[in-house]
Amino acid sequence: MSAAQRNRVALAGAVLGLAALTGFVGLAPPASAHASLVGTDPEQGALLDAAPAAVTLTFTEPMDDLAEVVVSGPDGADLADGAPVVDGAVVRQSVVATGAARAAGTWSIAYRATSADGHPLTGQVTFSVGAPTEPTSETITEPTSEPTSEPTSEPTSEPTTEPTTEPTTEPTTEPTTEPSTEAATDAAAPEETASAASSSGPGLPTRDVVVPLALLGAAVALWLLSRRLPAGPPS
Amino acid sequence: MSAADQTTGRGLGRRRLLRSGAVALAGAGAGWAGSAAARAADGAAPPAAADDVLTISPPDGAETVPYLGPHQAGVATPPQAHLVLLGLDLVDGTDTDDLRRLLRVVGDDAARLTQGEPALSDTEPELAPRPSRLTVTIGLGPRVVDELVPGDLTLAPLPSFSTDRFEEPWGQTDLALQLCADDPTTLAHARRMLLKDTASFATVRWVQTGFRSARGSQPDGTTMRNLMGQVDGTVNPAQADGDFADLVWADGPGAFAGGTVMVVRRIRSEMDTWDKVSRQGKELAVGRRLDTGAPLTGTAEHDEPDFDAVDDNGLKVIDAASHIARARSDDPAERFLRRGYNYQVHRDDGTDDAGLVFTVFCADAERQFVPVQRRLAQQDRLNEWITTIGSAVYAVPPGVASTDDAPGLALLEES
Ligand code: HEM
Repeated sequence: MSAAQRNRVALAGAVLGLAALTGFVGLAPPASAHASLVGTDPEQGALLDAAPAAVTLTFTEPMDDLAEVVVSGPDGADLADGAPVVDGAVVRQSVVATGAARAAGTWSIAYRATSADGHPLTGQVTFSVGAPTEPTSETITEPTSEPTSEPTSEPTSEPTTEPTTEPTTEPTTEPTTEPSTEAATDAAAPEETASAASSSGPGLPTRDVVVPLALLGAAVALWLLSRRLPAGPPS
Repeated sequence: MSAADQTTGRGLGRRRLLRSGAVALAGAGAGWAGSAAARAADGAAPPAAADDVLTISPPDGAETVPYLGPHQAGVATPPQAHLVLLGLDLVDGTDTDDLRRLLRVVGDDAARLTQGEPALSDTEPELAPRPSRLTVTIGLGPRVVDELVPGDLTLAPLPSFSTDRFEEPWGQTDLALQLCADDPTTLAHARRMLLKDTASFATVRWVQTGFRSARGSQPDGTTMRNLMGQVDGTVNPAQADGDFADLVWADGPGAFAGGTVMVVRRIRSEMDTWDKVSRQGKELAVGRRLDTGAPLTGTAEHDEPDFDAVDDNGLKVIDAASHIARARSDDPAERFLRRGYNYQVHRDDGTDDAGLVFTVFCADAERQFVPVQRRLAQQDRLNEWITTIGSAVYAVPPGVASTDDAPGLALLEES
C-alpha cells in the first residue's frame, strides 16, 4: 500500500467515523428541552374536603391550545365539563358541578398537552375527596376499550394506584423555572415534578450522555484526520 | 445510454433508432432481451413486432392509458410517478372560437402523445414512443366557465380559509393542464409540445411539478409517502367502491355529465420545525403511525381507525384534533379523491421549499371539499407544520368518444 493509498484509507475511515457519529447523534431525541409538568391543583395525593370545581395543570412553558383532560371520579365516570382552556402554561379543566359521580373517594386527572414544539406530554395525577378509595375496590381508571394493541407512545406515567397521601417521590431536579401564573403557586410542589418528569419519557438522560460522547468522538476523529492529512503527498 | 433508452417504438422512432444506434444497441441491449422476452411471455409487455432487429421493450415505458372514454384520463388513473401541472391564462380578448381552437389543439396533442405517437409537427418525435402512462387532463377555471362557456355550468372560486397564506404565483388561472407520466422525460416532451402548441392562445402563469416514488421502486398500488415521512393516501375513494362515481363524476349540468372538479392546493410542509417534533408528537398530529401508516388504534395500514378508543388513562388514542379525526366527516358525501404529489424546489434564499401539490377531484367542490377544508382550517394539529400557499379550482370536462372531438368542446356548443 502506497503512502497515498494509506492516506486515502485513513481519510475515508475518519469520514466514515464522523458520519457514523453524526448519525448516532441524530438518533438522540430531538429538542431536548421539552416542556414538563410543574404542578397541579389539586396536587398529586391531595386529600380534599369537597370535590373540586375545576382542576389545573401547570407546565414549564406555554402549551398548545389542543389539550385533553379527563377527570375521573371514583366510579370511573368522566367528570370533565367541556373542553380544557389553555392559558399560557396553565391548562384548566372545569369539573361538572353536580351529580352523584362527584363522590368521595379517589379521583384521577389524566392529561395530554402539547408544547409549542409539538411534543405531547401525557400523565396522570390522583387525589382524593373525603377519603381515598380502598385499593381493593374498583380501579381508578377503567379502560372502556380493549387495550390498544400496540402502545406507540412513550410510556405515560404509571397509573397511581396508591391512594395514600404519600406520593412516590424520586429524587428530582427542582423546578428551576418559577411558574409564572397564579394557579401554580400552590401546585408547584416537588412531588408533582417527580410524577411529571416520569411522564416525559426516558429520552433526556440518554441524550445528555450521547451528545458529549459523540462530540468527544468527533473531536478525536478530527484530530486523527488532521494528523494524517499533511503526511500524504498531494494527490 | 441506458438500456431503457433503447426501447424500440413504433413508426418513426423505431426506424431512427435502427439507423442511428443499431451497433451500440447490439451489445448493451443483450441484457434486456431475456427479461423483456420473459415479461412478454407473461403478457405484461406489449407484443414486439417480429421483424424488429431488436425487440427490447421494457413494458412500463410502453404502457398507455386509454385517451378515449366517458371521463378524461388522469383522474381515476392510478397516479403516475410524476406530475407537471401547468397554470395558463388566456390572452386578452380570447373569445369562444379561440377557446374552441385551443381545446382542439390540446385534445389532438393529448390523443397522440398519450398513445405514444408524436404530436403533429413534433420536433422531437423520438421522445414520443415511451408514453409511460402519460395522461393529459384539461380543466377550465371559474373565469372561463363564467365568461366563455354558455349553458348552466357554474364554478365558484373557493372561499378563503383562515389558514390560507397565499404566495405568488400559485393562484387561480384560466386553464390547468395536468400532465402525469411515470417518466419525467416523457413528461418534459409533452409539456414542451403542449406549451408550444398553446402559445398563441395562452401564457403560462405557473408550473407545478411533483413526484411520487418511481414506478417499480415498490409494488404498484403502494400508498405514497409524502416528504414529512407519512403514508399519505390511505383513506381515499377507490374505483372499485360503489360510491366512487357519485363522489368523483358530476352528473351535469348538460354536457358536463362525466366531468369532475379539480381543486389544487399548494401546501408547504414546514420541514425545519417538523424535524424537531418527536415521533410521538408526529404520530399524534396525524393519528397514524409513521412506520406502517396504521391508525394509532390499529396495526395495519388499512385498519379502520377507532376514534372513540381511549387508553388506560381515559385519553383518546386518536386525538380529536389529529388530522385524520378532523378530516373525516360524519357526512359520507363530504369525501373526495385525493391525488396529490410531493414537491420540492429550491428558493432564492438558499433553502428548500417542500410540500404537496395537493389535488382533489370531486363532483362538487362546494359540497364535498369546502366543508372538510373549513374544518381543518378551524382545527387540525397538522396546521402547525403546513402552510397553504396556493389555491385554484377547475371544471374538468368529461372525456370524448372520438379523436374528432376534444374535451370541453361539447360545453361550448350548448346555449
Ligand atoms: C401538506 C398537507 C397535508 C398532509 C401532509 C396530509 C397528510 C395526510 C395523512 C398522512 C393522512 C393519513 C393517511 C391517509 O388516509 O391518507 C391524511 C388523511 C386525510 N387527509 Fe390529509 N394531508 C394534508 C392536507 C390535507 C388537506 C388540505 C385536506 C382536505 C382539505 C386533507 C384531507 C384528508 C382526508 C380527507 C384524509 C382521510 C381522512 C380519513 O381517514 O377519513 N388533507 N392526510
